[in-house]
Amino acid sequence: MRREVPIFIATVVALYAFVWQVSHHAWNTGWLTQTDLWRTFMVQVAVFLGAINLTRLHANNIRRRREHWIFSVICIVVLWSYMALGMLGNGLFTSGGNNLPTYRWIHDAMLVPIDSAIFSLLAFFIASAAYRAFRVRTREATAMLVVAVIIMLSNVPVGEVIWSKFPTLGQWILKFPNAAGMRGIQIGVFLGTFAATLRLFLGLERKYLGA
Amino acid sequence: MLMLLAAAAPAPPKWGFIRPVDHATSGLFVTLIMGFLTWLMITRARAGLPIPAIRKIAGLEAIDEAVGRATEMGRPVHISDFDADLQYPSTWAFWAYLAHTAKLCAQYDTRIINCNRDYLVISVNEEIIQQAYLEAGRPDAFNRDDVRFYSSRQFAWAAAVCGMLHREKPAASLLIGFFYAESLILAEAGNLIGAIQIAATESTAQLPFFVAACDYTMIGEEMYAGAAYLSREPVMTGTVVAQDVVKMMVYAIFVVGTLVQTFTPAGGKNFLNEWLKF
Repeated sequence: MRREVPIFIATVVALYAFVWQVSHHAWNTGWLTQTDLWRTFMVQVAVFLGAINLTRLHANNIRRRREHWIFSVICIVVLWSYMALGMLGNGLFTSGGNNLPTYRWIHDAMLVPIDSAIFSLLAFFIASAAYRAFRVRTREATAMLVVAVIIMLSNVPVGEVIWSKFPTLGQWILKFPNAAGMRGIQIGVFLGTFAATLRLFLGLERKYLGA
Repeated sequence: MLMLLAAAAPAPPKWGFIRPVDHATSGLFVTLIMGFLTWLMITRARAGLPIPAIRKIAGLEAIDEAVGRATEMGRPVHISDFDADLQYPSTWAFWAYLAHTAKLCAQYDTRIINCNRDYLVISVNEEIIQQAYLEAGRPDAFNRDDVRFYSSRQFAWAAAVCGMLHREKPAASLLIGFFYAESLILAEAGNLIGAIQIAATESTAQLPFFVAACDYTMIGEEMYAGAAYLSREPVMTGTVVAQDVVKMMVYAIFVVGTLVQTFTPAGGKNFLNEWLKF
């Protein structure tokens, strides 16, 4: 029963969603709005419980002086001070705390640059990955190298200076061979998703139960 | 004027209760054909009749090798899906890999580390890994702290996973599911620590990064076929065979459609296009 009940629920819900999707009823999304409201409410409650749980966990780390306990201090300070600023910035229980300049400054001047710093690592990683991938060892790697050089030259001004047709050639590669390959993969993905969904419909797919 | 009137005209009626939008009926037909083929293959497999074999997928074969390598080196195995959500098919596919890898790790007594960004998915992942350890008869070896929630923010999550890779140095890193710009950050971090890397994604934008940086990459549909392949059950592989048959049919439609379009006089209608619109 431990397995059969979840499989039965998954199959019934999947079939219901499929019939709903192909029928006229797909236009009526009122019930979805209701479930979204439940979800929003549940998430808010969970966030509050999560904040309390996180505080307890990190308070324990600090009390017992566990390894890296200083990070627990930072976590608690940031969590509650940011929350308090958002709630109290414009007066208790008034809306618009997110628009408070200090609140936004912390987000824009601290969080966003940190995010961007991690993102910028990509530039170096692309260079190192490209170096490994473009080493001419096989015919495929050679083809990849040639195409990559054409695409690079078609996207920089010096490419056009070397040969005026580079931008056109680059666009052609992107528009035809590249698009054809990508679409082939997309169709495969669609059919793969389809087959996986059917396995779920039929109760054959049980890995989500740990089976 | 006639074109304006045609545009304003109501959509042609569809069969029964089907939605009055383009491709609704043809889409339903594809579903029914796929369903029938799947049923056929499953019936044949259950009756012990032969079904066409599916080709070996190198990336799937490499999972056993990667876990074995981690066991020999006494280092953990890392497996994660960045854009995981209960409603995404890629997450459901990921669970098949997680269950298989966790089972292998439990059998070989190797640590498995899973990093998450979704608070609902982490619960399912924890349950799957715990179940794998229970089935392997080692419930005490399951470490709840190895199933981690890092952050729901993309680059905070990526930074945390990179930090984990450098600190704990897993011998194998499996990146399965849907990824965005963090794909190469993770793959290069894994490469720097010398981990054997297996990636599978349906994101066409990230595939080149994985192909360049990982040892094995499963492309698009291979990721979904993996769930059936790993089970080694004829009934499950039958669904993959059905998928391949439909794929051949779709490609045949492409070829016919392209030829019809090529030889249709200017201003003429491609009948295949009209049929598929219904």
